[in-house]
Amino acid sequence: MRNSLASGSRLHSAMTTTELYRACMQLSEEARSLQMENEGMKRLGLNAQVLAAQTGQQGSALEVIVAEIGRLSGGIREVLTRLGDAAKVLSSTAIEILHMSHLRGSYVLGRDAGIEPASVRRFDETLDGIQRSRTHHLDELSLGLAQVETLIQDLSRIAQQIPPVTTMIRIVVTEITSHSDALLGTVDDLKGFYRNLDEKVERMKTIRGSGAHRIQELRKEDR
Amino acid sequence: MKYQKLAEGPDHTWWVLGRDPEKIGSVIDTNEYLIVGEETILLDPGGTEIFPHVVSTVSRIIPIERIGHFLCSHQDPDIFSSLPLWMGLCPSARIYLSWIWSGFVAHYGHEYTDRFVKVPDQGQRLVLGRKEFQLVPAHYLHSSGNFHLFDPELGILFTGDVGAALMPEETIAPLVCEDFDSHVQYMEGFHRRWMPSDRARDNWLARVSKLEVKMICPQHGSIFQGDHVGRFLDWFGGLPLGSASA
Repeated sequence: MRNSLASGSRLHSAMTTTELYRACMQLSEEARSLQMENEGMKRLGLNAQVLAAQTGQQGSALEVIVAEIGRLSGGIREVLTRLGDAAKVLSSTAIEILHMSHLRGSYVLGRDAGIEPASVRRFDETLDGIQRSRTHHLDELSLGLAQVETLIQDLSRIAQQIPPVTTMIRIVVTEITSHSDALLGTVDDLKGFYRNLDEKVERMKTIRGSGAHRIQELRKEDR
Repeated sequence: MKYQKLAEGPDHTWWVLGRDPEKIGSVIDTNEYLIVGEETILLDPGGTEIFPHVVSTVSRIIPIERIGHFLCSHQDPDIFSSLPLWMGLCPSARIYLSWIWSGFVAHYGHEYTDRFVKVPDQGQRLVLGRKEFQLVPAHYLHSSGNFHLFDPELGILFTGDVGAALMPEETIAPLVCEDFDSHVQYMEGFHRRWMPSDRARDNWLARVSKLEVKMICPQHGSIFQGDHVGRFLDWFGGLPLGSASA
């Protein structure tokens, strides 16, 4: 009975740690795929720049839009780079936690099986070392997730600036006769990018929340 | 986990651990051997799953920090996947293993590779304090880099998977083989399947015939002593190896 309870608790702990690790890897993955999509945003800015040049005198209105797309793209790129860096740290920290939790689980089971007094000091020192390391990594992960939360908010704020830009392009298109189809295509592309960015930001918020919840669960286990 | 003294010399003792009643059924039963003397070695400490019970039992025999050496007879997970757990407790212990496996066993914990003693193919002497043991080559039985340990003073040969018996889950092998004829059924399939080479077996038998073996201690199943040592060697010598697969 004792053994099956211990196995059950070890299984739960392993599942929690694995979920935490998975959340960190998913954050990494989302950040990476957004970075790739942001390349599309950059290309969009360049295309608009070319159109502005081709549109001659009427292009001056477009230049404002081009500058705006460039600014948004730059802002997104900056946040995504920091997000990517944070995600890398999260992934490696999560791997350490996975490793430490695994070691801790086995040592705790050993202690439950009964360690003789002559060995207890060494055993407890080792277990404490593992425990300290796990707590340190959990703290690191908490900080990392808090940082990610701020970055996700920044990303969300920048994303909110895309719809006004699409509106501006629509207004300009009514004034420009040539290249209007290409410009409307730019609006559609921007809308698609915005929709995707918005969904990803929401997904990242959910993943971050799930990671924070798993950290709480693991901390409860430590008490 | 059960444990008992196996043999005793003037200044060193062999212990065997195994037959854990709390062991999960899907995890194969293993024997762990502990040689306690001026210096202490644990032979094939076992996998991660049984580590809690092995460490708990070893602590009943000696303070854990006294383990200064581990033998990893080959690379299998039931041999030493518990490596990082043991190294946490015995950080300065040395691990003897075949040189060909060091890069692979490092997958269990690369941080500890500086503790590896890479044993050459021809084997080597293993000096623990004033005691000297031999690491006897047993390549291809079953692993391509495989060592057994011989204690010349007590005549004990630790043979890893040679002599192993796989018992049905509900059957507990006696610690020391009592009825060789009925025990063969639990060894035959294993040896025919896992041991691939008659030539390797014959080389090993030639080496072992030069040793004064009084006891054969496999990592699974029962120990052979007395007449059963000779009966086992004869039986093994006549078995067509590598013959159990389709």
